[in-house]
Amino acid sequence: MTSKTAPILMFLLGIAAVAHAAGTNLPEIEQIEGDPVVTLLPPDGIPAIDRPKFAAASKAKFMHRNEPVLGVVHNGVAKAYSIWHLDRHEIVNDDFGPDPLAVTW
Amino acid sequence: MYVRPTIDGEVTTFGVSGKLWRDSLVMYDRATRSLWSQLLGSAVAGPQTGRTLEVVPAEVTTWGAWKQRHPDTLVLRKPAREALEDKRRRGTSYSSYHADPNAIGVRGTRNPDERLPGKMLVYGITLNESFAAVPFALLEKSPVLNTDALGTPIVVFSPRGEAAALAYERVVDGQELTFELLESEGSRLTVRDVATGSTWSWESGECLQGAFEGRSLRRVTGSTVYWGIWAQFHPDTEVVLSGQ
Repeated sequence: MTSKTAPILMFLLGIAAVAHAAGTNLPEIEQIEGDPVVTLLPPDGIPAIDRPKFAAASKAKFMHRNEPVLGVVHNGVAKAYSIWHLDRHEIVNDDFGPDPLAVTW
Repeated sequence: MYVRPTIDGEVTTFGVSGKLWRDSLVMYDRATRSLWSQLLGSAVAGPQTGRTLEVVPAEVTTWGAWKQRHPDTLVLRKPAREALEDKRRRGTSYSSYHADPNAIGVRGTRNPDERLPGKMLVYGITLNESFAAVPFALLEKSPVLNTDALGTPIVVFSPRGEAAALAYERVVDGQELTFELLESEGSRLTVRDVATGSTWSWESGECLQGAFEGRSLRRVTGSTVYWGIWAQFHPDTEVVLSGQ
């Protein structure tokens, strides 16, 4: 091995190590407190929303009057999340001012 | 809703694990890939096991009712295709799920506790590691429900026709209060305590006017959930069948 290939090899091994760590599986636990954990989909098979965008109520013609929503007021800000849309994503990682919240359904 | 935790100095985000436990969503945090139960709000596997998330109260209600109460609200946007799908919608994506009154969850688990029908919606409340379920059918009849469930004076408020509810300890300065409905108009509830006639906000638990003005009731954590799921998590739960 020449003095040039050694650093390249170290670099590639480093990349491989990071890639492996990033792709690590979730805990493969089969039961918790006697009840089974069932795996239906891979992680992120249902994609959580990480960069939610919002509309003002007056600009929300896409919402039905009877559409079920999860509503929250926090730090003086009121937000609603359509439950029909939450069915598609299950989790919204959001921020209310300085507070980082997770809306879960 | 939960406050996203700080792990190793950074606030983390949650992803969907694709796993179910007790027919309920299991999340994972992107920092450590620990598994978290969405219903319990705590980590159940991985490095963060045992850690509990801080709860932020949220309501299940309709867009129309929420907008009426909070005209300045924002609403989550949807991509164009999904917005169009929802515009055309009649039922929910779980309409076949609702068709079978006995199958709970995606895998059709049988109702584990016959005290209530599995698909009945309840408001499940938690206080000091004790649990109680209040059927929304009861709250429909009693939008202001005074109870001593969980061994504590508690009041549950719920506007008629909504699966929205909030619960509080109905005690101020050691004094137990009994609440009554003053007025119910659409999604607005005006409530007052019987002893002093002070009016209170059901949404914030704060006294708006009267002897207790400025004081607040302590919230009791609760969530809107199907009985069949709640009973899987809390086999020892109380069931509230009437108020005072």
